[in-house]
Amino acid sequence: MNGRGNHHSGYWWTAAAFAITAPLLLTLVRVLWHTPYPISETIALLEDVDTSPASFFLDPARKSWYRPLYHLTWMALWRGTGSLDAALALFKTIEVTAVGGLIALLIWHLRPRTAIAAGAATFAVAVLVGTPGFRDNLELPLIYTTVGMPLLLIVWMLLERDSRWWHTPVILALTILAIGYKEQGLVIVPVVLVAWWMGAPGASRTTAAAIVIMTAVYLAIRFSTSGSWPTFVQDVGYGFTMLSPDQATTRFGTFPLGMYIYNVIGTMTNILFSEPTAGVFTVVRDVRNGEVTVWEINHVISSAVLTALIAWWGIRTLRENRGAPWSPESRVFAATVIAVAASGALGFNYTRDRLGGMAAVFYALAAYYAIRAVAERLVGVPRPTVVAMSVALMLLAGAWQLRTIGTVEYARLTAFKDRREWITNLQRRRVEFVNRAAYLRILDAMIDQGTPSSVPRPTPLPDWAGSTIGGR
Amino acid sequence: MERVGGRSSCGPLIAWMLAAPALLGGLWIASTESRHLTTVPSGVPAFASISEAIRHGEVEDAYAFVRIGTDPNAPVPFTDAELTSGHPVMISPLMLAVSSNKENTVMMLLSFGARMDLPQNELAGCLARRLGYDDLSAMIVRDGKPLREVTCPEPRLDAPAPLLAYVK
Repeated sequence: MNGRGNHHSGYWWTAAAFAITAPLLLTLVRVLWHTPYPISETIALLEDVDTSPASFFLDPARKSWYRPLYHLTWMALWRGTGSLDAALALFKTIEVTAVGGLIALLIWHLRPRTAIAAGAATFAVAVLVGTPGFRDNLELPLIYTTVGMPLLLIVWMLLERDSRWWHTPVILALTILAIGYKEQGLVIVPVVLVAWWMGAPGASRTTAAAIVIMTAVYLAIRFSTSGSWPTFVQDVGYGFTMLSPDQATTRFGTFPLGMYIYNVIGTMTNILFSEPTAGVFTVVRDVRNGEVTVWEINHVISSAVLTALIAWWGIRTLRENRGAPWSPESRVFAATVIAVAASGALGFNYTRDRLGGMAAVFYALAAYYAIRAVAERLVGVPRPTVVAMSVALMLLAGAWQLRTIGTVEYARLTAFKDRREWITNLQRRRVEFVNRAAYLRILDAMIDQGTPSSVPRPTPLPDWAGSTIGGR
Repeated sequence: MERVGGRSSCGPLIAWMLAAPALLGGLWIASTESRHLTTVPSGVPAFASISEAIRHGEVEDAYAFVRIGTDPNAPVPFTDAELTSGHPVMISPLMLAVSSNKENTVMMLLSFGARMDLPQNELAGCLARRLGYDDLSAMIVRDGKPLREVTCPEPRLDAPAPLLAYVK
């Protein structure tokens, strides 16, 4: 069994994977659609969009971060429709499409043609949705990486298809779009280069050259303004505590390289082992304090086991591939390693779960191939071994499924909290920003979207279930 | 299951074992979502009155009354063994929220129309301080923005419960 199966009957297995995933996909989309924009992030952002010219957002010297296409999207939607309500709805459509599209694209890209491959595809979806990088990016209106993740997958799909003349401009445009939404889009660049180096059919020399030139121009622009960047721009986690930018500068300012390396490694191990979170070893701390919950243990163990499986599959695939043209599976493994490393590097200044979002796409792809490889090796071995290993695989899949349910609960809780924040913080904002007319105007215009009674709520669960699922 | 030379071809079994958690997870998600859909508040408050909602509910329960048009300044009848020593009083929702130390509900009422310049509300900060809720008192002064400075009344020694001294 090679996982590809019969060409025609195989489509049924793709349909089966879609059908099994449908409740998750539809629920997540519905919850996100009914989640209010939070009062804390949105109003100031829209005030900037309302009161600033486009050149304000295009200026790379303005801040240490640079997300011009994100802000210009808001501007285009608002000014293009002439309606704040329409702009809010359209922007939320982008988020929902990105999240739902990513899950659907993952299954479509894998296109399982056998029962085992379909099972592996459902496992890959659970891995994608259960990763910290996916969960932490489900935050309106900060959907920078949420947009980049499906773009990365589309680029990969193009790279793995036979080359066409339009591939290069489309890959370039998607990469620019992802980078313009957030710097994490740069993860696409080394992925394209490794695909070209390993002979991906859709990665031509022209594609590689074009993306290198584009990146060089981008980096030249960014680094030309780096003199104004502070040493630390946000709180940084270190060991068991968070340090403010001032505290971190006082402590590490003379030699920030060590802290930068800590952040890089922290982002990478968060992707691979779900620990630390934002640089803080929360699970280790909770174990030490006797406060560890089941979901924390589940996150660390399920990630560690899957990472070990991916490493086994990847090394085995590279070995089998030695001396022959690189296989698609070899390229996925190499791209996963590169994406994890690039995500870590881009999180050098501070680390957060969301910085692993781009790598989560490849982590899920690698999970599919790894779990499929294990499952296919079981076919034909003695029955006791099959039963034992099948149970082990089911436990691993179950652990990741719990994480997926946790993500759904997290999304529901976020919606609930956003509404509560609108209900309770309105007056405080009115007082605090009394001299900012645009802020108050936008605040009042958004009350109805922030306070409807139809906002999702977390599922009432007994304590044991809540502490097993997490997400709250 | 087909057996081949002492070994078994267990492809379907392995596939099921892999997909079963996703299937069960999907059923769980679908069932919780359908429960949400069927129990989504239609805007009808879950409590009989706003005073009940303030005393025994979450901020969302009290907000449900404001959302359907209940005047957040209108005094409501209220009796409580502890807070009013069983005496029936008319009290504003804001004063009731303060006496119950419901910070979120106080913030909600201030956000959705409670006016500190009205006689039934102007002693809210005083009541909070009298009950020892200093953070709540500071918040009312900061966010309530009373139009004039209020002199808190001296605690009435004859009042059998603290709330009674602040209810006009």
